Amino acid sequence: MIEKGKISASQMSVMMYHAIIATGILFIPKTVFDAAQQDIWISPLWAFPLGLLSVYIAYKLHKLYPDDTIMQYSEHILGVFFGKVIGFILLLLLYTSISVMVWQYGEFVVSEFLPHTPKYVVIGMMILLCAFAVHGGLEVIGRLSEMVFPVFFLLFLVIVVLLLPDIEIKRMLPVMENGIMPSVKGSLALYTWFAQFGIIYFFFPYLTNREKGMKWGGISVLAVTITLVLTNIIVILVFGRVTGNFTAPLMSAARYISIAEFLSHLEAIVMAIWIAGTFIKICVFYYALVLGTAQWFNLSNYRSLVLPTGFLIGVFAIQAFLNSAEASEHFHEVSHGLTDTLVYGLIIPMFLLSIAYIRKMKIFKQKGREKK
Amino acid sequence: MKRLKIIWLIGISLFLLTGCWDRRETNDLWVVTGVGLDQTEDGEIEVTVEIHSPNSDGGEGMGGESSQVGGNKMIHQTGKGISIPKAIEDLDTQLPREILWSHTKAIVINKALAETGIREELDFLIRHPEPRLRSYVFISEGSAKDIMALLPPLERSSSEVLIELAKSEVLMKVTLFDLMEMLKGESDAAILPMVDKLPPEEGEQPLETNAYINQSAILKNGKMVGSIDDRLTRGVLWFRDEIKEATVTVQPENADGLISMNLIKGTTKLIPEIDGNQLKMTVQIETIDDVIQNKTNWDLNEIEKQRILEKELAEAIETRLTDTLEIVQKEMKADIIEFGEEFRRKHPEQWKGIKKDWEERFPSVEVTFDIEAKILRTGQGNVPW
Amino acid sequence: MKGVYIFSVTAVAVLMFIYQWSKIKSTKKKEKMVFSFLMIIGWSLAVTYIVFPNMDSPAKMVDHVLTSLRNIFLGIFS
Repeated sequence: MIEKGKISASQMSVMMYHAIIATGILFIPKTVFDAAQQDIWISPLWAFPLGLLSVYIAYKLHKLYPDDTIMQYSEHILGVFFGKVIGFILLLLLYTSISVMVWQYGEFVVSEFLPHTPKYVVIGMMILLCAFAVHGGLEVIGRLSEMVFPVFFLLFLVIVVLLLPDIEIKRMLPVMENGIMPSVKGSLALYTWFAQFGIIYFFFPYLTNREKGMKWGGISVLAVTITLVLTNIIVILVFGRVTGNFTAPLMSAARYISIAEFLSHLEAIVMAIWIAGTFIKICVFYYALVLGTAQWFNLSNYRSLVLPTGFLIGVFAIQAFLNSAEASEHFHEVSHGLTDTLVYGLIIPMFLLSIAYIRKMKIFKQKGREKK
Repeated sequence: MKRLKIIWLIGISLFLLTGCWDRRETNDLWVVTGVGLDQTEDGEIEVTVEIHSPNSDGGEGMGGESSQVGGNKMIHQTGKGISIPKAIEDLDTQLPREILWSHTKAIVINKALAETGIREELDFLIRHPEPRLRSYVFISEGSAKDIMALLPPLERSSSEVLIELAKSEVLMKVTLFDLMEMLKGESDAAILPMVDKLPPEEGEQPLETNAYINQSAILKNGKMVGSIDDRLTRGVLWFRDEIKEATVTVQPENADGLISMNLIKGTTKLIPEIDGNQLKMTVQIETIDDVIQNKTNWDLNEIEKQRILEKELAEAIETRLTDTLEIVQKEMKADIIEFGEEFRRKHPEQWKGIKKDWEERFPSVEVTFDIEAKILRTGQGNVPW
Repeated sequence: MKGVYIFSVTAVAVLMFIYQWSKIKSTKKKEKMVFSFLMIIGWSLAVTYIVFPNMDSPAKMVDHVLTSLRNIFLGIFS
């Protein structure tokens, strides 16, 4: 096998948690607010089944081909040629999706904290850092995310607790003013994030305890949902109808904290959380991409591809959007629920799974005939 | 092989050793503590900043000799332009150091600018990553520049005075965030404290005086439409459940003097009701007061007298609130007392129909009061008669 | 300015190449091929983007393809 390291199911779960939530906690409240208004905290609940479905499909495929990742079993299912085609589309989508993530990271750091630093420096440093982690392999990323998780969660709770003096329950009312639909519409935007759970198909074969894969995958989805609900509740309780006026409401909320005059200007905490989380997120996708590329070319080692892939990601990311208007156009499309992540996280695996089942049934029928 | 590694290391360190790109040293900065926005008569915008220079009162110690302790080291500078960014650009050309906005705590807008609309100007303040949502916003009767330029006798600077005034919550306290929330609300009305300068004491320099809050400005659709005095402002505070300080003086029937009471606690609940086409609002107030002055010859420890006094107190509050309604609801038609929000929260379905012509229907809302006043203590002692 | 950018991108690419090339075992021809292939794509894309900064990024192209696919689907259903 190309990856010799193994991670435990719980490590995978933490990894996926970061991979989804890192950008989520900052941008989700605003994106969802546009559709759901004060019901944004309900939306993650509607998106929850989708995340679970992504994990479930990946798990089912893993059950059929326990030692392969999607790049390999797509060839088993569709034959070498079509398998390679699907693999290529998958890689392409992963490239675009990771470039958008890295762009978001760069744009946010530049616009909020380092306005005079060129973006290619910010992005370049991050990719370089991730390259080291990815070069270290899956075990390294797994442990890193385990390490980051307590810090991430603790700081997140600190922010939530410090915001408590500023909350007002009446900002959340009336619940479901326009019925259930706004929150459902809001969850469309969340599908982008929850569909990213699909890339779990790159990690299932490397688990030490495979039988627990589904359980921990589900826990990860649940944890993401709970975190999002909590974030959205706190944001809506603090900002109410003004939420939509901030690009990153949680950031603005952290900025808004002021306890007894001296405990203020806390946005650095959010930034710390966010950079740590985004680091893991980029690592996870970067790793998936490198592994996928190596498997697509049938290489025996992926480490030599780390640097060139990083270089490509960097180029794509810097060029992803020329300005914030183009970006918001993209995120507008995203909030209508049709995105690249949905294709590679859900549609392609679903397609593969159905073909696999059909083929299996044929084989059973043939066998049945032979027996007769 | 080894050489390659060294080349690689040098190459990498080229990127890592560039230093801090966005570093800003404190002695290259001027910290803005207050901003005044003026619209001049020729339609231009004037931005006045009050700068607290970190160097000018702490830096002397560096050289070993310290001098000039306690001097008021506030610098005022004004920039002019057709928009706020233009005016700030103008300001930048006058100032030798970079301006740090993130400690801006007071924003004063003059009346002329408020009358043409503050939404556009707020847009700048919110888009800018530095100013805080917690900075207090004021409207000035005269020019904001004058308010900023005051040299108050006790506090360090004029904006410091304004902040303390707002924090005392005697009258309105509105932060940038509160203002955003009000402007985004269902009724599009907002209320802001108005500042003016106290006339200076005799013999003092004309600038050596305080600013003070004496009125409240009412804004509709982001434009100022009028102002109410301090008495009515407290009425509005009652409605908004923000009342913190209030003194009520009553003259009970068949008593020979006045009794003053001080508010300990006051809570307000608005209970909206829709009866067919008629909108109704019940204002439920619970308040606890202490007696602070008794000019009558009553013995306030008698339960009966206390009952009477409690009733008087409730009535006094009710008159104040009806007076407030008279102006705010009937005359100005500005829903700064957030009736609309309450209707939306309690009756979201019907509200959709009401919302369209809320401005016309707001004055016709029938308001009933349900005031429960309690007197908790009657003071530590009393003057013997 | 463009010259400087192209030069620095080339420098980064060359550094990566030198660093990584020596690490790949000489027996693994395929790895070397894939590696150089990716490097060349990356480098030429970077140069293209520097020379034509207004070119569409892959993210936007994918967006475009997906939206037109969606429109086709919607057209079929409606």
